[in-house]
Amino acid sequence: MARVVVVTSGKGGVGKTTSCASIGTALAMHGYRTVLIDFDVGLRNLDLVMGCERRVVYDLINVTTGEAKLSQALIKDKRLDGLYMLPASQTRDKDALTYEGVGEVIDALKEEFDFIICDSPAGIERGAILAMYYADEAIVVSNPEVSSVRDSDRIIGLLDSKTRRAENGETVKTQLLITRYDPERVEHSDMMSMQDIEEILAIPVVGVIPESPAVLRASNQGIPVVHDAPSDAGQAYSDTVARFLGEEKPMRFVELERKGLFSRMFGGRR
Amino acid sequence: MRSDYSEQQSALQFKGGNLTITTLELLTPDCVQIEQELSRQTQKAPAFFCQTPVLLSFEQLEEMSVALEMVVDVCKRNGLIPIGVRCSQDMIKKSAWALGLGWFPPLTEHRLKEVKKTSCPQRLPTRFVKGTVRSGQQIYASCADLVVIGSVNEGAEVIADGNVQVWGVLRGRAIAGAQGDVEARVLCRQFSAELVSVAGVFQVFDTGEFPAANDLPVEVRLENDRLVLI
Repeated sequence: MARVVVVTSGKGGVGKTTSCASIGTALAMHGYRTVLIDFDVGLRNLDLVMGCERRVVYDLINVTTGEAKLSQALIKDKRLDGLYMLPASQTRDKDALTYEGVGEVIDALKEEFDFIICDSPAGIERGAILAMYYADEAIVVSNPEVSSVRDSDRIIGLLDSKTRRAENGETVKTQLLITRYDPERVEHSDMMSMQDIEEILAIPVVGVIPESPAVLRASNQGIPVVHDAPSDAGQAYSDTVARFLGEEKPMRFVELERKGLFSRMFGGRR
Repeated sequence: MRSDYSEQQSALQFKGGNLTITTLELLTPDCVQIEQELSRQTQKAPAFFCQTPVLLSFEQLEEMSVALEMVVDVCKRNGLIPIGVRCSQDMIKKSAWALGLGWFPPLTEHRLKEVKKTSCPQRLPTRFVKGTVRSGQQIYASCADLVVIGSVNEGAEVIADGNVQVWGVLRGRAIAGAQGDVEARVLCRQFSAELVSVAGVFQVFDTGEFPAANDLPVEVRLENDRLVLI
């Protein structure tokens, strides 16, 4: 049974697309047939982060309007088997999407894939609501700062009321992914702690991604950061997906690593 | 030159300014009691009670009228010169006019009690909400109490015509007695609200300073038309 998962946040720039790319990639690494759908019509980014921007011919809207077949629009990942993406249109706007059209596309994808990951646009307008409408599960991405947490709170409220499952009296299983976490700044009270965010949002934490230069480097290269196995962010995404698949994994990168005396004394030289 | 000047000079000039004036807040209409109390005070500080202008305030009195001329006499006998009254009672205001005293509007208006009449004709069963009330959500319990079994997050609003109870943390806005029930209360297990209101009297908490230590339950109710947080 295919699982439709929306990656959403409310606020922009918190790492939805980056997370979507890495989560999808890691699911494919686990052997699941996975498709990523970019719902950010007009501000298409997922193809860049996945490094397949030059292979986009048809997009989601072409499929919903019948101008192209689904198989024509799907782009196969060049690194992993079983990973595909469906890009957004850069030239249209979000009103071009319809509930029926998106529903048909998702139903068709459910036949082929184990996971359908929907990359939501920022905001709470039509694009974001459509991205979450057919979801069975949600990953809410939040940064450790108050505005992001408040917007996430708003989005969780919408997941509980504006989705098809909510309309049918069912719940969307919602989990929290905290990105750009910096334990040192949490220590100095410059940043909200994981515990604070978890308490306010009252949903389980599926992962914490540390603030890391590896993320921006990976995005610019068009390689999802989870491919960068030695990096902290890459490992954190691997852990996140393992937890998402039901494994028990301790949270890493949430505690400040105490520097020893020597590394404190000589840390500057290395 | 000089005569021109005197012609243009006006006879008087109104000046605005703040004067500190002693207010005599009367807590009883009983002149005998007032006289006893005043003469005792006079003995303590005779210098103060010497042609001292005072404002007579009847705001704390429930009575609709008092024997104002007797109160004024008592004051004068004790060295106080009443210059005006402050009250919401119409009868007292009229007596003051007859006695040549000024009138000041009351500091606190007692209009809240009147609003009470327009509240719900009957109470409906309590509305229960389970789970977190999130930013952007608004819950209204019409003619009923509202019980939230969970937290109310920032940017969320919980409103009831009766009482509002939050069994988690109140971080958003809570409005009790939305139709003017002055007996309504807001109760929460932990208080860090943006705003609370009872019967239209509200208070915002913009400084991040809250009345109770952060982990203590708080009760918000009206006392003399003012919000009291315990």
